[in-house]
Parts: sequence; structure tokens; C-alpha cells
Amino acid sequence: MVPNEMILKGNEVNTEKALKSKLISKRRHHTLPQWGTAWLVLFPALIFLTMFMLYPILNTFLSAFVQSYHYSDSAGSFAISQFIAGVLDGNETDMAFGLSNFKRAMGNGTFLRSIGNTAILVIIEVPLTITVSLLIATFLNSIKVLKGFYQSVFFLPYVTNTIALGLVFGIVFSNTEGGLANVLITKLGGKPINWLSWMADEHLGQAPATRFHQGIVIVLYALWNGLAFKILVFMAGLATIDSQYYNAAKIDGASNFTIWRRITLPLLSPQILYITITSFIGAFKMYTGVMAVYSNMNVTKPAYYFGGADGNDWVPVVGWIYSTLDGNRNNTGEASAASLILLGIIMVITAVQFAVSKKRVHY
Amino acid sequence: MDVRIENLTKTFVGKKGVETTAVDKMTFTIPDGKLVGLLGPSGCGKSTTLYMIAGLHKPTGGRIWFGDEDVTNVPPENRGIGLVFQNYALYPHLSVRQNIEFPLDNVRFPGPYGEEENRLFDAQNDEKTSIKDLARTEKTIAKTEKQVDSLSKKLESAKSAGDEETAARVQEKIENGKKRIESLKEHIASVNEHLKFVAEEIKKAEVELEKAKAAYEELKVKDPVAAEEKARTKLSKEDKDAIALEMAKVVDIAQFLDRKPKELSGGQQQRVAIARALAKRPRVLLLDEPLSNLDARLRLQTREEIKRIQRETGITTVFVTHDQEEAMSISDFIVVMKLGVIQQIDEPQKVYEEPANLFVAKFLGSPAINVFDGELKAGKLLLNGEVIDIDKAYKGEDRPVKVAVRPESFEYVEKGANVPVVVTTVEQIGRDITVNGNIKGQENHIKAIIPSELRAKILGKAEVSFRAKRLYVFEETGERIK
Repeated sequence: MVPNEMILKGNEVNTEKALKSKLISKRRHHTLPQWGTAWLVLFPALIFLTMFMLYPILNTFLSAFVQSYHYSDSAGSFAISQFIAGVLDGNETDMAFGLSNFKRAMGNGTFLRSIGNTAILVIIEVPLTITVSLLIATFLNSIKVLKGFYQSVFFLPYVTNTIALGLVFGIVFSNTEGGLANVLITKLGGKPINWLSWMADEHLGQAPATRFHQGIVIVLYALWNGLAFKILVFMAGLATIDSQYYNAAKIDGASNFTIWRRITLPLLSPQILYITITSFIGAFKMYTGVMAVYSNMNVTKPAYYFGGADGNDWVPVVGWIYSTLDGNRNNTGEASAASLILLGIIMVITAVQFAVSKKRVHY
Repeated sequence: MDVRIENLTKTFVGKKGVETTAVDKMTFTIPDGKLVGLLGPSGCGKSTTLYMIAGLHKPTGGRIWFGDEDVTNVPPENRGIGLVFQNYALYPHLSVRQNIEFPLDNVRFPGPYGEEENRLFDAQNDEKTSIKDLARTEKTIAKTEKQVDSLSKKLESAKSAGDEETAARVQEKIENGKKRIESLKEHIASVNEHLKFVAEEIKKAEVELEKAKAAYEELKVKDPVAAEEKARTKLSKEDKDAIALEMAKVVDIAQFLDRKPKELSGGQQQRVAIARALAKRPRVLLLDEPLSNLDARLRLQTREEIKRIQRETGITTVFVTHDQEEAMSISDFIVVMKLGVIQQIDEPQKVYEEPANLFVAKFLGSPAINVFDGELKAGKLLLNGEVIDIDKAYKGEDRPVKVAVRPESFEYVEKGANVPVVVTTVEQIGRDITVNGNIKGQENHIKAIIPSELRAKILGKAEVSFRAKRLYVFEETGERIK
């Protein structure tokens, strides 16, 4: 039997507690509604997003469409602040809008070449890396012995520094220091190739590196650099495919290739779509990879060097944008216009991919 | 075609090298055109058995026969089986039609003279491997001869040194080497013999192929339609569509052919899976827990459906289930399994009425059979010291036994009742009432199902005595005593 007193006491305590919590909840309810809490929590992220994403995007749009953009020390390269300063000063005459920056960019031979370069790199590299990584992932998925070892090997480039990887490629494809590639070629009875150097080497009897040979090195570099992540995603995708499908297909008499083509590929299509879109965008934006390949050459060269005598043999679009800005901030307008053109191209291609994927991707 | 399983054994080796026997020396025959249920609790090896019949698991021992053909080492695609997986494994990216046609896409015909070509190819392959074998054997002979030579020198030196022990050992080695050379030479002779035969075979095959080619050319002129038919290596789209439609009609899903599997209900998916399994016209249809993914109402309906499809197609069918009711309702035969060992094979009603052992008795029937302690004394069955089975005499010495009575076997009678039950609860479910309690003086729980008219007679009583209409007696170890 529980004494009555205790029940009473217990009740009292309970009511007090309940009252308190009621008060607290009431107060909280009045001072900060749910949306308020939401904004409070979002605030830090929003600050950084605005500062480093939203404002630069708006700024890029503005500086691309301002007719004659002039870099001023007071406003820095911030077109918006310059615009506001102009409005406050009452002289907005030089802030006329138009397409002159786009015209200038499209009239620039190097920019047009950079679009061509990027297009070539994208068209060769994206299908190549996706195919190779898909094959490697299926292969890795089907072996049991040494699976972990090979997985680590293929994942290593992902944790390796881009520049370090570039240095290694520079050494492998060096024409002077007995680079591995040339050693192999001479062993097989070929003539050593000048892969990367823009200078003719009379001692070795080599002409300056052709665009073709430089391109091979860049594509191989991009392939090696891009494999790891794609293999990882494909492996994860393969792991989610129910093994019963394979058993069923085996009983249905499908050959290994048929199973791969008709079961594995379609069931992996969400991952393939994801990788295709991200690697297209990544390839369009690539420029450090090209620079990294040349980073091992011991000649003085500009900060943004992309091969050849003029440093622009394989300049990609983003590379051109940076090298245009480098040392001359007055080119901001042109560079902004160029990045908007690149944005347009990427958006169109991504839209096409999504349209195609509606038919081809099975979720 | 019947399916015979002989001494089938499957042992899995775990990570630490621990062996688990999933199926232990199973032997049974599935008669032609019958529907057989493999029944047992989870982990009893029933699915493993099914997968071995399918060819997805390789047996550790024993053989599997489809009719007169030993299929133990035949890969699954060549066994002529259809398998319906527990989760159906319908290809989610293909339509119902494409799913049913998938097995048909992989069907290949030999072509106008493919059989003759294959024969020639096989013979040529045989020749190649024989020649390789010959070369390899000659190499081994040369190597062994060299060894014998060096051993002979060793023998001489040992003899001259007077080391008898070494000499004897070397002598033995030399003998062995010579014997080996002998046998290898015999092997070469037999391979040469075989090569002669193969050469003949190749010649014959070449002639046959020429004949077949000529016959085909002739047929092309005479009857172009038949020639075209003969030249086919794959099923045409029209043929595949026709088969898909036919199969879809059998399982009653013809209206869903263009849908994707996820747009169908569980029961419809199940039927698509059966249609896919039937498309190749298998010799044996295998179903892995076919009803476990369906809700109760669909389960009843699909049960009938499977029975009907099996009757219509007449295909020998094996299905796996842990649900005794399911097994009882549709199988022609039930194979009850426990820990990889067959407990009983019989018709469903027989298994229910004449369980071979206590496990089978307990496993079949819902609510489960009541088991309590009794004893045999002077050939009579006693419960709490009273004889409860007057008519029957049991053999053997006096010993404690287990007595089992099905819940519906209890009868409420005014006189002659012999099973006293201490009542705990009485539930009324529809036309029956269930009396829960335990045997007087025992812990064993008892459930008796009796007609609800008797409710008034039982209600309020703390103790009721029943008569067991039918009872089974088992040894303490579980074997049935008859």
C-alpha cells in the first residue's frame, strides 16, 4: 500500500514540473516562432553563401554586361560596389549596359581556341574515363582475391595532390631526363618523343612538342586523375544490385556479356548519369590538370602556362579566364563574359543529358 | 520427367574453416508432373536443396537426375529449369513483356549446318589437346629418363662405396622412375591410338559438313521458306511475342504486358515471375517461398493459382516453404526437412495423420499438436497412472513416453474421459471454442478445440476431462511408437 501522503506529494511535484515546462514552452513559442528558429540555424550558411556564391555570381553578371568596365582601386573589382558608388556620385554614364564584353571575348582568337581545346578534352576524356572506370569497377566487383588491394591502388590518385600527380606525369613524359615513356618507346624500337617541351632539342634531334603529343599526356593525366572517384561511385552502385538478378539471368541462359549489357548497365544507370553530368561539368572547368602536366619543366614560364611557345597550346576556357585576369584587372568584363558563355554551354549540355536520361535511366 | 535426388549433400565452409552441413545425404524422387513441397523451419536446408536442383549451388556430394540425365554438373542454363525467386527478381528496368522474353532472347539454334560445324570443331579441338598432351608427356619422359640416368650413377658410386642402405634406396627410386616411364609410354600409345580415331572423326565430320552444306544449298533452291527457317539462329520477335502472350494468358496478366514490374501488385509480380520461368518451357519448375511476400488474402488466391498453373502445364514442380498450411494445401507430396535431413515424405494428409516422428507432428497443424508426458507399463499407455488408450497394446519394456493429441481430437464426453485438464481460459472463436489449460499434474500446455454448443457445460469449471479420439505415442527421443 502506498501512503496517501506520498501520492499527494508526487502529484504536487508533477504539477509543478508540468507547470514549469508549460511556461517554458509557452515563452519559447511566443518569442521565437518555428520559422525564426529555421532562419537562425540557416544564418551562418546563408552568410557564407551570400558572400562567396551569390554576390560573386551577381557581380559576374553585372561586370559581364557593363559596357566599358574599368578597374578602380576604390571599388576593387567589385562591379556592384562600383555601380553603387557611381549612382551615389551621380555619374553613371560609364556604366552603360551592353554586349561589348561578349563581342570582345568572341573576337579574341585565344578564347576561341580555348573553347576548341576544352571541347576536344571534354569529348575525348569524359567517355574515356567513364568507360575505363566502368570496366575496372565491374572487373573489381567480380574478383575476390586481392580485391581490397586493387581497390586501394585505384583509389590512391584520389587522395594524391593534383600538382604532385602532374609532376609525376611531367617526369614520366620528360624528353630530357630519360622519362619512363621514352625509355619504353626506345626499348620497343621507337624514336624518343618530345612530349611536352615547346623548345626544339638539337642535341636529341627533336622538334618542339606537337599539340597531339601534349594532348595525349593531358588526356592520360585527366584519365588517371578522374578514375578513382568514378570507380568508387560505380563500385557502390554495383554493390546495391541484388545478386538474385544475376542468378535469374544465369538461369535464363544469358552470357556474361549479355548480363553486363542488359542487367548491370541499366541497373547502374543512375550512377552513370550522375558521373556523366559531374564529369562533363568537371571537364569543362578543368585547367589545373593542364597546368600540372607542365609544372615540371625547368624553364621560366608565365604563371598560367598551357604549353607551346605562346603558353596557349592547350589553354582551356577557365585557364584563359584566369590568365586574362592575371595582371590586368581591366579585363574583368571580358573574363566575366567568357565565364557566362561557359556557363551557358554547360547548362545546355546538362539539360540535354537530363532529357536523354529520362528514357535511359532506371531508378 | 521425374527428378531423382541421390545422397545429395551440401557442406558450407565458414570463414574459420568450420563446416556446416546444410543438406545431409538426401534421397528422394519427385514423380513426373507432380507438385512437391519442401517443408521445414528456416535453416533446414530446403532452399539449399532447391538451389542445388537449379544448379546455382554446387553439391558437395550425391547426384541429381532429371529423368535419365545426370545433371549434377550441368550449368543452370542448360538444365531446362524455371526458377521463381522469393523476391521474384523481376528485372526492374524491363517491361513485363521484356521480362518474360528475356530467357527467350538467349535461346540459340545451331543454324543451317551448325550441328555438323560443332562436331567438326569439337573433333579438331580434341586433336589439338591430344597433340599438346603428347608433347607434354614426351617432355616428362625425357625428364624422368635424365633423372634415372643420374640416379644410376649415384647407385654405382654408392655400390662402390659399399653404402648398401643408400644403394637400396636409390635402386627403389630407379625402379619407380622406370615404372613411371613405362606408364607414360603406355599413355602415349593410347593417345596416338586416340589421335588416329580423332583423325577419322575429323574426316567424317568434314564430309558430313560438306553434305549438310550441299543439302542446305539444295533446300535453298527447292524451298526457300524452309531454308530460311533452318538458317535461323535466334527466335524471331514475332515468335517471342507470341510465347510471351501465351505465358501471360496462362498466368492471367495479359493486360499488363507493357507495364513495368513496380507498377504491379505483389501478386501480379509473382505471376510475371512464374510466366518468365515458364517461357522457356522448362522440364522442372522451381519456386522459392512463392507466397511469403504476399498478404494473407492474396496468399490464398495465389495458392489456388499456382496449383491451377501446375495442373494446366503438367510441369514437375518443386516449391519451398516454411508454412505448413501452404504446403498442405497445394502439394501432391510433402518432404518435411529438419537440419538438412528428411523427416518424412508423404501425401499431405498422410503426413498430418501419420507423422513419422514428434518433429513432424509438432511442425504440421495449426494450432500446434498438444504434447504431454505419459508412460508405457505392461504394454499399456498410462497418463498420471491411469490407462488412457484401452484398446491398444504397445510393445517393448516399460518406459516414459511422449503423448501427442491434436487440438481437434479432444472430445468432451460425459463418460470415458481420460485426459484431465486444469482450465485456465476459454475463448470462443466463431463456431468453435478453445479451451486452454494444462494436463493435471503436468506443466504441459494444452489447447483443445471443441464445438461451441458445449460452452455451457465447460464454462465455470476449473477442471475438465476430455477423451482423446486419436493419439500418437513417441519415444522421448522423438521416434513414433505404433
